[in-house]
Amino acid sequence: MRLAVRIPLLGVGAVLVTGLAAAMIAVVLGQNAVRVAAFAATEAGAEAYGATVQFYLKHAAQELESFSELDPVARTWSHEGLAEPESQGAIRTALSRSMAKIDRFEYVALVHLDGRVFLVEPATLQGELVRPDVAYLPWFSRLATKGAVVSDLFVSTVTHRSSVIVGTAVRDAGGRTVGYLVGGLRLSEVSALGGTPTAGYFGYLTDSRGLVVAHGRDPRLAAYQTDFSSVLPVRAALSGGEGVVEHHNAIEDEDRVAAYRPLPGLGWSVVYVVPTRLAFAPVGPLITAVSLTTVGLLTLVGFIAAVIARRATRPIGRLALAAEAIAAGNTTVRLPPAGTDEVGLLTREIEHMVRTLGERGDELQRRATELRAANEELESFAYSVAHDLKTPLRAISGFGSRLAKRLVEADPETTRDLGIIRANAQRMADLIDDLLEFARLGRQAPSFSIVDPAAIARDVLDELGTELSSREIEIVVGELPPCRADPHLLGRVYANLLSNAVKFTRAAGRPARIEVGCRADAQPVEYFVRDNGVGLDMAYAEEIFGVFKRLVREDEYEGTGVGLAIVRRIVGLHHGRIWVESSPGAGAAFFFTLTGGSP
Amino acid sequence: MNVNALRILLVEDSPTDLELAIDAMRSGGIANEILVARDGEEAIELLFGKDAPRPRPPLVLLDLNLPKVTGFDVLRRIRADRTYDRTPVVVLTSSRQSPDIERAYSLGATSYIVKPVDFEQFNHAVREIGYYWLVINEPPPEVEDAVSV
Repeated sequence: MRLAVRIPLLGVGAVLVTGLAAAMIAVVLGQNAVRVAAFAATEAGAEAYGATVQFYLKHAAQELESFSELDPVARTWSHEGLAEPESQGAIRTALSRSMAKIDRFEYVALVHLDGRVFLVEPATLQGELVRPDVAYLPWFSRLATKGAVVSDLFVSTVTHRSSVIVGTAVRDAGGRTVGYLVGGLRLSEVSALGGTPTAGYFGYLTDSRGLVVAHGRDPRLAAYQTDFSSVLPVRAALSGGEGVVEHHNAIEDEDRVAAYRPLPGLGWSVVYVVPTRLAFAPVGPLITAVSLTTVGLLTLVGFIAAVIARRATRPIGRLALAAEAIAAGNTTVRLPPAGTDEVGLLTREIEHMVRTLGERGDELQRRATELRAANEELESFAYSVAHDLKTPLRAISGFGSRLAKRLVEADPETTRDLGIIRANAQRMADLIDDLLEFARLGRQAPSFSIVDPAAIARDVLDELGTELSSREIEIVVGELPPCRADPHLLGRVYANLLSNAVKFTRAAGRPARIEVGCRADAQPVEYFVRDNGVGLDMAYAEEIFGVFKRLVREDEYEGTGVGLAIVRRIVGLHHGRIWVESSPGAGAAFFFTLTGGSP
Repeated sequence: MNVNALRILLVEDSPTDLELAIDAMRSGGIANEILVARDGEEAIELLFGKDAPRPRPPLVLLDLNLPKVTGFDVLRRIRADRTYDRTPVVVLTSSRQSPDIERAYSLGATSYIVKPVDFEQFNHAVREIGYYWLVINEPPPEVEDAVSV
């Protein structure tokens, strides 16, 4: 990937990681803060609700007490021996007047000390009274002992519905308790203290057993005597605790934050509920704000990184172009100006490198020129050797022969001497030719192509025709795999090896047999020329490939002693190997490989 | 036109080779007059100078290793001239180096003979050359010299 892309990506990546981490921390912290605030608010709600309820009940008790002090109630009832039925009229009138003024109670009832109900106001409810005795109800004994009570939820003997009463003692002028006055609270009014059904948050009350007394969202729960004793905050409050819990209400399928506390004096529980979605409502905007900030930051950083990367990589790009031109051989290329940063350092290094490269190139060129000159000199030297050494030889041979012709009556010895002179002049010329060829092989690069060695060997045999036709030689050319070689040089190899084979089978005393073949299964393939001639001592197997190395006497076998040296040099040019396998009198086999010719 | 009446050109710097060559031709029965140039410069003067033979020599025997102007340069000069571009030029030299052979043919040599060192072989070669090019071979028709009109 290009640096101009990689650097902004790295920047964005880094910011993404840290930004996300920061955002998450912010969200968590924010959430916590919101939670703490929500809990505190809920708790405060519970406290206020509890106070309100307490205040309400206290007022109810005070009002009932004021009813009990009404003259007809206090005086008539106590003086007339707990009131004759005739005195009911005056009492009812006083009570109904007060109840009309303060509409807090569904009904009020006057109860004798023994629990019998004296009267119920309003009078319409008197007839509903199924049992004129309330001594059995749990709250009555408390009322009797303490002189005042707020009851738990119970089924009223008057209304036959769930009810909570406030009770107080009725005392005569002397302070003696002569009976009791109880008032049934309007529970719907108590429920209304806990909020409205649509507000979302609400409060509810349970009595000391966990039965719902008032419920801000659903007031009917009180009428049904619903048991909330197993609801988490209720349970906690009833056992005297106060606090805040988060819990799931399975019935309404709602997560809630609920603050709870006991209602002092009564053993009731006060619970104030805020649905979680309302309590944590501020978290939503917080997350949105954090997300937007993060995205904005990322975009900004990506943009800045891209700009920086472009500025940073532009000189590198220019440098790369210049380096490319240098690699293509242009050492005069102009580099961008070098600054003081790392790129500048690199630029200076490249400048230095280019200078060195240029100097080396010049040096190399000078060497090549020198080498060419030396080669040309050697060439002309070789030419001179060929020409100038052979001309005198020709003169020796020529004029020697003319001399021989003129001496018609020459004695046989003179003729023989002149013959030797001629033969040696020729031999000298052959040596010169072979040496020149040998020398030239070291300076010429072979030109390789795919060749058929068998065809080349056959061509060579055709050229050797004269000697072959004059003797009886069995020649076998086997099938040879094609190889990569210089065809001309490979021809010289076969020419030398085959002429050697022909030469050294001449005096072996048996029908000559020459085989051109190969060991195709060897790796690399081993080509060979085998004869059944005189063979050679393997002690000299290495020596015979040297220049002017001869194992045979010159008067027995002609030759300059350069042939095998030429062969070895050619095989060497093909990065191959040559060796001989032989024993005296048993023929010889010359093997060679041509590995280097392989592409 | 009688070919025997024509003069052939022999370019040879070695006096011994020259003597042996002339000797070989004479003993081989070649009767043509032989013009001799002892170096390349002389050969060019003879071929292109004021006293250039008329008609043109039917054969040029050319050594390669010559003082002053080499045989290759002479060959190039001959082939560059319209009046000589068909004349048989037989290179007769000591070199059997393949680069020399290659270069001579690419410059337009008609034939390339390596001078044998052995006297008998040398005689034989020179005689054969003369016999082939002057007796057996039919020379190209004479090209009129543009400036001689």
